[in-house]
Amino acid sequence: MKYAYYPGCALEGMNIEYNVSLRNLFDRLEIEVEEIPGWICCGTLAAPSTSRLLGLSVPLWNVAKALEARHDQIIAPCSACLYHFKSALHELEEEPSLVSEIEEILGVPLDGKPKIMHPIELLSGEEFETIIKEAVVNDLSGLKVVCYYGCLITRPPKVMQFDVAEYPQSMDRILRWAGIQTLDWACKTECCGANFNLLEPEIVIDLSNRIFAEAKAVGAEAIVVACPMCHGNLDTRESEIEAKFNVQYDLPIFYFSQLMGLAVGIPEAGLGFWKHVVDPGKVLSAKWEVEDSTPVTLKELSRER
Amino acid sequence: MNAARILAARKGIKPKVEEVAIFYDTFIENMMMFGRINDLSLVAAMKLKTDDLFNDLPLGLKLFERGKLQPFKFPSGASEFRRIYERVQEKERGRRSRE
Repeated sequence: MKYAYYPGCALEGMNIEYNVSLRNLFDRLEIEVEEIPGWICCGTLAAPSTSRLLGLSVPLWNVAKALEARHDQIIAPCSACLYHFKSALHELEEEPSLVSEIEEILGVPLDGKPKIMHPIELLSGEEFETIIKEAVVNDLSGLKVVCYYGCLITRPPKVMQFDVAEYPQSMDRILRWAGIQTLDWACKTECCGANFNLLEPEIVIDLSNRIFAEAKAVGAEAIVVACPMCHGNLDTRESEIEAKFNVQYDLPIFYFSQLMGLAVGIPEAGLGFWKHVVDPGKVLSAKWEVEDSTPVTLKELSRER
Repeated sequence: MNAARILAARKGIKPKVEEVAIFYDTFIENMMMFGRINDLSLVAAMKLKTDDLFNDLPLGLKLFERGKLQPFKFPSGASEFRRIYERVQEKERGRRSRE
């Protein structure tokens, strides 16, 4: 089974380490993916805020390209892209008269309704329990983390149709299969401030502070995320949050794919830890001997795959 | 929510945080140029338009050092996006003239 893969713009730029670690993890677990040929930005919040038709057409262009390449399952690791794909397909289902209008705009047919999945949805399937457990070569059981799902992976539930909307478990499950301790906490789906990082950072600073405080209170040593925007907000603003609230959190932010990648033995250079603003070295080296993490260039990082 | 935003923009009503509307416009312009978003040019354009060049400079330098802000990106799919955008505009002009 080969899945269509839509990395999205964030995973080509600011969040390249998510892309590289995830593709390495897929390789290690023998999950075959193929990037959608000629994909374009999903339009995120900007396109649907400009025009309803534009907000539908842009993600559906990518869906049409995946269908054209004979894929019926698309993996979208960015939760914003994931939401816009699922939301566009949901709207077409609710209002079938839109299909011909969108096809006219795109100039290509929309033959079929592919399943759109976050990688966590794929990996948390029962069939992956044994595969993941058998792939583990590094013992990470000493590391205690909280899983932060953010707003969009499970909500709105009518559109996303995945996991329990307010208290999801799927990321916890796959990390536990990889031997990592995940803790219960109250902020799994709290908002981190989303795209206000660029517009009004104070909103991000205040909202994310609650997430850090709760993670620290339950004894977490790191926060694990599955969304590039959540990673960006928490990782880039942690020091300002600590300064504003006069606290010391010292919590690195990992993608689930980085920690799982470490557990299944992917070399550090193929996981991109050095790209983080908050240095994860202290937490990682306290748990086991880390390799030389000399920074590598972007090209070298991509070649590690 | 999106419908309210679109109607407000058409009527010239500005959002409480004006940067929000500027961000959406800048984002669409970036899609027109590259097809896929280029973070560095998006952030630079936003900072210029909102006259906020220095607030996040130390953070920007850290991100640049880590290769997170790439100076240039080869346009990929820009012409596709422009074509979709123009067809949407045509359709919407047609709809509005019928209303």
